[in-house]
Amino acid sequence: MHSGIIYSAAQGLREVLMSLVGIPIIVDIIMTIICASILLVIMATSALVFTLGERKICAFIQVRIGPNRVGPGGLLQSVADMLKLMDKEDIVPKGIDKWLWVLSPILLLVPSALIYAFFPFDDGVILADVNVGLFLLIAITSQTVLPFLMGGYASNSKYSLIGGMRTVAQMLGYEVPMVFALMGIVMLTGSLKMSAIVEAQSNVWFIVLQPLAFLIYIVTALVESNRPPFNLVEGESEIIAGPFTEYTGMRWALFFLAEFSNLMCIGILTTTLFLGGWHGPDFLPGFCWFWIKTFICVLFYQWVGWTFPRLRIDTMLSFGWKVLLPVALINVLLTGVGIYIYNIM
Amino acid sequence: MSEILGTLVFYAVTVVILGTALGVVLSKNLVHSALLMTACFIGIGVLFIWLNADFLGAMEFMLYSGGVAILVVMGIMLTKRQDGAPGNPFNVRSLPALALVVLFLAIMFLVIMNSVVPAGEFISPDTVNGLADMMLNTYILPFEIAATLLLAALLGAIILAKGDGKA
Repeated sequence: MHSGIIYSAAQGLREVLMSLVGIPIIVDIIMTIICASILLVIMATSALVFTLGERKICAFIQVRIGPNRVGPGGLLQSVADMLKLMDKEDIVPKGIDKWLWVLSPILLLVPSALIYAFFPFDDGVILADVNVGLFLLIAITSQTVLPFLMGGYASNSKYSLIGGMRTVAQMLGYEVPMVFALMGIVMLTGSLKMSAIVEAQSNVWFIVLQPLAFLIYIVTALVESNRPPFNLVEGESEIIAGPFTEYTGMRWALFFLAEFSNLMCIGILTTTLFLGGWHGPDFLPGFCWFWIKTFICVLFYQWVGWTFPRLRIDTMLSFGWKVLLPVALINVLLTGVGIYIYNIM
Repeated sequence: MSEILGTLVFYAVTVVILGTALGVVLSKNLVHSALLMTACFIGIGVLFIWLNADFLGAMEFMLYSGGVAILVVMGIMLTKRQDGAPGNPFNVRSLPALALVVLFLAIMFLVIMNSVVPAGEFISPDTVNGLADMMLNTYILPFEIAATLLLAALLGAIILAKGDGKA
């Protein structure tokens, strides 16, 4: 039914485990644990790689050299960064709401890690291929708002609270056009299942059929994952990193682990929803195409981030509600008309 | 074996739901109460998914813990009293409340034990298409009326918040 190296490897592993253990449910549990661990490793590694990539690309765009001392060409810079962060003193400010403050960065990581279960990496390689996949994915993504607000509130600092409020305003505001933009894809596919969405793109990618939705998605994805030029939540020069102001060391690093994981997620989602997922010419296996497209998307998002200046909060919010939302609704209407005409002919 | 696992999941989720619900009532900090309520919503969403109602579960995540809870938390944070008082009004009559709860539980227990719950047929997990069909074909008129009502409420809220332009 499915082809592809990863799928066959997983099947082989399952057979080996089956002959060793013998009880199907235990084999299922072991397989799930292995898959989840692989996804977590991917997530953690993405943070390590993207930290370096971000600094190198930022340097390239700004005509600098960037980190070049640790390791060959600065390759080990993120390892050094990590060691430094672990070594830092764990400062807990006075007057905070202790429990919320401690929980906020940890809870932020949970939805970021959870959504990896819904990504089809290759033919048949998807941890949870549920019927309402895309909807559940968006629902889980929307859970990242509250931890930011929690952290901003618990820090008992005005900058943090402003950052938290901005998170709510921008993430809730841009979630609406994003959902309507993705509706066009769901209308064309006729299903919310992630594997079905990829399957529907085996001939024509949705970027061709839904160019408007693609443009809206790029903007909203950058907003939802707090990437520059929409990182008003952090806004280093105005509200001093917002919700993260009072965090140091590993607690601060957890926020950035979540941020880089989200960057990877929007790359993967762009690939899956608009660029045909793992589909590609036959000379490379599916998962190679998947990762090539994902990294191109991530590069693109970083390029955009380092090219444009940060927006102002009021212009950004009015852009979301007054421009993106009507355009997304028009896209839904156009898609509906298109499907109707196509069915008539 | 998988039934045992399912039961374990059910009891774990139930403990989370009941524990957080109790926390909402007992917490002295209003913000903590609101956040525990969010956790309770998430637990209920997980329970829906456990019952194969994927769409309902995702709806619970999206609308309740993603939308309603954030508005509640934000409202509480913005209206917090400046003197740092906990702000969760407490009732001293805990014994009558306990008696009332026990009475309610007893009645519910009796009702549940004495009623026959017909087991429905297994419904296909693909409920989205059916729901869409009902909303946009069979019950299009009530759907549109509800939408108009919500629009009126939205406009009313904007007018109330902004004033009529004279103030």
